[in-house]
Amino acid sequence: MSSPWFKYASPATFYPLAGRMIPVFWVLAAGLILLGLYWGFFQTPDQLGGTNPQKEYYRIIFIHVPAAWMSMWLYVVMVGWAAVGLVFNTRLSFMMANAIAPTGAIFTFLALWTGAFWGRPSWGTYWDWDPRLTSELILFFLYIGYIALHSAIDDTRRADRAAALLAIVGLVMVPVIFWSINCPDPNQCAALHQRSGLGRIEGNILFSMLVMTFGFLMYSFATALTRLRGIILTREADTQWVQAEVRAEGPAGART
Amino acid sequence: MGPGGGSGRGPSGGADMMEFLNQGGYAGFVWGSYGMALALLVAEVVGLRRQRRTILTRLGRLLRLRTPGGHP
Amino acid sequence: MLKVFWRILTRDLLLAMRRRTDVLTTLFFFVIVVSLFPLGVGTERQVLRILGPGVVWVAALLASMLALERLFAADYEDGTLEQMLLTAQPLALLVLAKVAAHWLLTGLPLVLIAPLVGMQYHLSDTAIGMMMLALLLGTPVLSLIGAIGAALTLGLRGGGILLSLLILPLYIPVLVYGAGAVEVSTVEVADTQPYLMLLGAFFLSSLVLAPLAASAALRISIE
Repeated sequence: MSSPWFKYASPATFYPLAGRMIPVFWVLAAGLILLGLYWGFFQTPDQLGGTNPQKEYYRIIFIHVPAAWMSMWLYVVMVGWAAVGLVFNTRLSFMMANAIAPTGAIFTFLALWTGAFWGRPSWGTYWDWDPRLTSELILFFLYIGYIALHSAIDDTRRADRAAALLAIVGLVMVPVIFWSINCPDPNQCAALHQRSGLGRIEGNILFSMLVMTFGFLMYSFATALTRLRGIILTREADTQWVQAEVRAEGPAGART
Repeated sequence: MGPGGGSGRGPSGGADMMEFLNQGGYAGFVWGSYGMALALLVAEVVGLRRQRRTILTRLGRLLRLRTPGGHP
Repeated sequence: MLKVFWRILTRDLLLAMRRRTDVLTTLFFFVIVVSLFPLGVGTERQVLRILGPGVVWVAALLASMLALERLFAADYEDGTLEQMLLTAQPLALLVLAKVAAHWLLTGLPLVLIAPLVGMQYHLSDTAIGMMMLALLLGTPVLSLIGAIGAALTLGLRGGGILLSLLILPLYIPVLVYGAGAVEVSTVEVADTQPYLMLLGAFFLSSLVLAPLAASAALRISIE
């Protein structure tokens, strides 16, 4: 099965491609995040009224929601690459999954932290076992489990595949876990806590949130690809092209 | 519902800046959140750069060990 | 195929019986943990009644996990597991047999001990009955899902702790609905039906899926 994509399944060809893409992603990330922050602070009302009044602290939303979305999306992507690796037996796919995991964990932690800081002024407590925050906590454990399992196994091949299987099992379980936390009493599970439909969020706020989300997405691309290049160098250290690369970079990586 | 940001830009920048930083009294929470975000993202980036330097140094050292007489 | 299942099941039971202490330590661990809580939390009746179901379930999770390390370890060490991988029999079936043995040795005793615990926590008779039923449905699920973790962490240093880290998040649905069933039974027994159906659903789906995942994990760990 030959196709242009499989050319890039080789670490050697992907490495320079990633190298060219990374600066683009950094620029996009910086631009979008700055735009999102500016818009979020200066183009939105200071306080919100309505059914769920919020004061200035609601601006935490511009970090909290994008971080949460990213944490979930990155897990799905990670599992995607893990599955590709298991099916097609491509080393690079596993390396990509490994590269994504730490970034995903960081966003999950950030979502939890900002969630607690948002909860304190609005609910009155840092932690409330709110279903969504609790599920986010579980997601954090899943990321940590993936990273821990991978680092506990010395044999790279076994580590890659075991962690991949774990990630897939995790993904299958996530809806069940989320559902059980969200709905601990199946007798009365009709309307869950207020589902804030995206359509009902004020325009400027929604815009900032989306811009920040894309900014974080670009950031994730940049960090994951950077980490991936490091992983490739380490794993393919015995090959000619890596040795040439190392020589070219000079002592202690003069040119980053 | 026009733009009502915490600080307006203009000649009376000073007082508005304080207002902006104060975020209606919730400064601790808002800046605590944004601060953590900044800290984490910066830490990740810095960590990655250090990681890259370490890898290159280590591999370079290994390479020089293997080719007697240093690199070409 | 059924013959193979029985053979493996009886073999595991026989081996375990020769080392009875292993089985008993799990059981006593459960009892000790359950007994510790009132000492820490206070012995007031009302408090214990509320805590009871949750504590029992958490203790059941922990006890189940303790025993999981040994699920594949002995066979792995003496090479039997590798032989199992090489046979023509479906690996999932063999895994299922081992998990069944594991449950008979760790899960079932918990179900039988439940009345004692119920007494310690001043639970009503209906609550105790519900607890036994919920444990009966839930502990097999713990063994089944745990097998996946045991297969993934086979032979690793610090495997036990790592196993807990990996498996505990996956145990949450069973915990929520198992404890929930007991709580609700104290109020209105009829309301427990959805809980039991959910637990039943977990049981059936893990019965089918978990051995498949565990055998995939075994192949990854051993080849």
